[in-house]
Amino acid sequence: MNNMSTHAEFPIRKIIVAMMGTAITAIFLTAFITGANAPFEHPAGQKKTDQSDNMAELGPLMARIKTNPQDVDALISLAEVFSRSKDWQKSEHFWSKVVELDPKNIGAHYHRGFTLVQLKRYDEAIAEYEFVLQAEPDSLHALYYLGVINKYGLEKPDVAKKFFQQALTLKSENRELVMDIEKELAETGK
Amino acid sequence: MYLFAHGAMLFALLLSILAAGLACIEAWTERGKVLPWLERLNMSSVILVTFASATLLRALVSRDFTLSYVAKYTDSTLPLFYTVTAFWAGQAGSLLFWALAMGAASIIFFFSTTYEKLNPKTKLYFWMFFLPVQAFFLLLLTGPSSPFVTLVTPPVDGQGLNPLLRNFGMVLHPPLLFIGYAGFTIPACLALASTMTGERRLWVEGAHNWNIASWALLTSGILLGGWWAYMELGWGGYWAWDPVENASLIPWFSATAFLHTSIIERRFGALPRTNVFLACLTLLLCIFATYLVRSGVVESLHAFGEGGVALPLILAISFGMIVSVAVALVRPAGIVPSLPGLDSKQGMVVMLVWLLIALGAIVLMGTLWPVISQLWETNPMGVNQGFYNTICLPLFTAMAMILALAPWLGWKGGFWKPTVAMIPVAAWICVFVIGLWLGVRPLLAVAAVGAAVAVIVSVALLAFLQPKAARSRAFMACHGSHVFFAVLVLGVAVSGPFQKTHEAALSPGENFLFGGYLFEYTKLRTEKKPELAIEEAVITVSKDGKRLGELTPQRRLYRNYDHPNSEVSTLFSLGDELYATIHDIEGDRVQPLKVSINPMVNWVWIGSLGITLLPLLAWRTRRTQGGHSDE
Repeated sequence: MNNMSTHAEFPIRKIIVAMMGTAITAIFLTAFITGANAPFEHPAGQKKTDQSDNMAELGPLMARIKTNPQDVDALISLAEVFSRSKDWQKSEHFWSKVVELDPKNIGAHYHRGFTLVQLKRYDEAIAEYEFVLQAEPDSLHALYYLGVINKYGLEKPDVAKKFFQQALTLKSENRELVMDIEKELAETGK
Repeated sequence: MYLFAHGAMLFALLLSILAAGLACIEAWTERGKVLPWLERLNMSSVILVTFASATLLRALVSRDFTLSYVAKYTDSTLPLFYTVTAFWAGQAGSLLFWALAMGAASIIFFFSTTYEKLNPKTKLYFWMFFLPVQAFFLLLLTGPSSPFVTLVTPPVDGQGLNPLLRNFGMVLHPPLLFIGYAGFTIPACLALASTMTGERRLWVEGAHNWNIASWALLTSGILLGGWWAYMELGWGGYWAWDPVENASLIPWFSATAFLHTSIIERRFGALPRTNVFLACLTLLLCIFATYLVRSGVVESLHAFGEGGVALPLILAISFGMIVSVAVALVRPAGIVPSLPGLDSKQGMVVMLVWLLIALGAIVLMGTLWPVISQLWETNPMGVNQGFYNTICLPLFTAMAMILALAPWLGWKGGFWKPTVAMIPVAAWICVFVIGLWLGVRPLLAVAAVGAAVAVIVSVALLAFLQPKAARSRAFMACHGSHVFFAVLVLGVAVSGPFQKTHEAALSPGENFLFGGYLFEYTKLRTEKKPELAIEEAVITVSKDGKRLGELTPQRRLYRNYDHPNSEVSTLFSLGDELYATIHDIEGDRVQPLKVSINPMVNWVWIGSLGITLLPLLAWRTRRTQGGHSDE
């Protein structure tokens, strides 16, 4: 090798060179695949996204949590912010904290149940909705979600049917939800 | 135009891949004919990245909302200053900035005397390691994180920059961090290349200035991040051990360790494996910091979430770790001088390095705890600030004690002035006993103050006994920065535990007395600008009937952001700094006004600034290279 030194040979020189060669080949192949698929255009520009709103909210809420980690109102707001941005992992984390600090907050149990459904943690979601039902046996939403979890998540249409039927026995003024439940029940019955 | 810019990055990626591939083939066959081509290909790649960066900057300045990135981070009312800084406000822009900084570092290194002096074989191996790193960043930029995505139907106006980022600290914090991160690429690749060719002596010398500069940039970036948190987030502190804050601190520990162990190799040829490992570890931890911030792996209130870069980053870090460990461990046999015992300056450096590594490991574990604990917890929780403070602060105190004692030890062992060396120890004991006697609590804070005083006493004695050496740049760089570290420790030890906070809802004309200060809410001022509306509470502060000044905390409502943002106001003091924020304003009633008395908090900033700047005095020019200073 021209002009090269005569230092002792590095014991695993060829292995290291081969590893670097493999790495650069992997980069090339990945570039080939992802480069071809990389989006160069987004369909539409949005004046404003929910995410920008949510980011602006985080600072003051964070300040409140830093000052008082047991600030339930701030924890609820944070959980709602993350729910709006569909960051279910973080949302569930904050709803859990709310439930821990305020176990009698039925709304928090309900919302935690909803985020657990989004995270596909169905058993925990069922436990939350059952807790809601114990406190509020007439909760149409809890029965609806128990039905939905059993129908779509756990694929137990018979169990789902019972929850939908139970929901329809309640006299609710929420016509929209009642219609949804009727639709779900009709589909389940098929 | 943006198609050209995207194409430029793609072409730069291809050139980097081609050059890295050539470097691998040449290294395998041990021929040395393509080196000039590698250098030219790298140069071309950097020029293309510069063109892409200039295109993004132009788009930002001209507020071209056809570019998704510009529409997302700027709007027509954003001042030019913040518009330019929106370059690194998002993931794609910051990765492009990192790639640009890394490219610039490679060009500076290419024209340096260190590179000139390197054996061609080492140069070849250097490019073999450097170019894949560059290609990796270009891969992210041309794939999951491109800043040149255009909008088919662009908006009339953009979303604007997040209000929290409209702060001087946040303007400089990201670029300083990224330049620091990029700078560590050179020592890491040089360490691997030199170890493989056996040209060890020159790499430690050649990496010195890169270490110093990158370390100073990283430190200043962390400092500005802390200052931003203090001035913008309004919770009264500067370090919450948040995962994103920790992300930049973890590589700082290994970089600081490397800064100290490299001195030992330069002087005595010892710790060669450690240095290679620490140089590579620092670079990998810098990439890991990006992984923590961008992957969404841990919850942080100001993390940037998943952006498709998590998997590539973790694969790159794992691969880099395997290569680094393999090269560091399987170095050719040679005579490595053994280290003397712990009663020597070298021994103290090793102890310091172990403390730094322990701190890095603790912070890393604490940060990743929610992920690790998922293995056995269904509802994993992160560790709180108390965990970090309880474990890390004693280690920082121990570090300060090492800095107080080490100057009195010889490099090869034994105290050279045993009696004088006991004075800093006596100073520490005195402070501790006085604190204990006065009933000051917590005792950890007293111990930390004692250690800081011991360092200052130690360096003062050293300067008194060696007046000629004390005027040297090396003395200022080493012992001066240790004094400023002591100042930082003093600030942290006092400002945190002895902070006092009070909240009260006030209407104009009402006041309250707190901590000996009278806070009077005199009036509410309002101002409307095109980009924001400001409500400012004017709080007059006086003590013992003497007016000290005005606090003017604000509530700002930015255009495009429906939720108000609180702006902090402070009354500067080297003693008690007064700090005020408001949560809400109804009519002209503030509810509540929150004031904190932060004792000696500015010592933290003064200490950090000194730590950042003084090591730069150890910069080695052509004239000073080759000689050893008293580091």
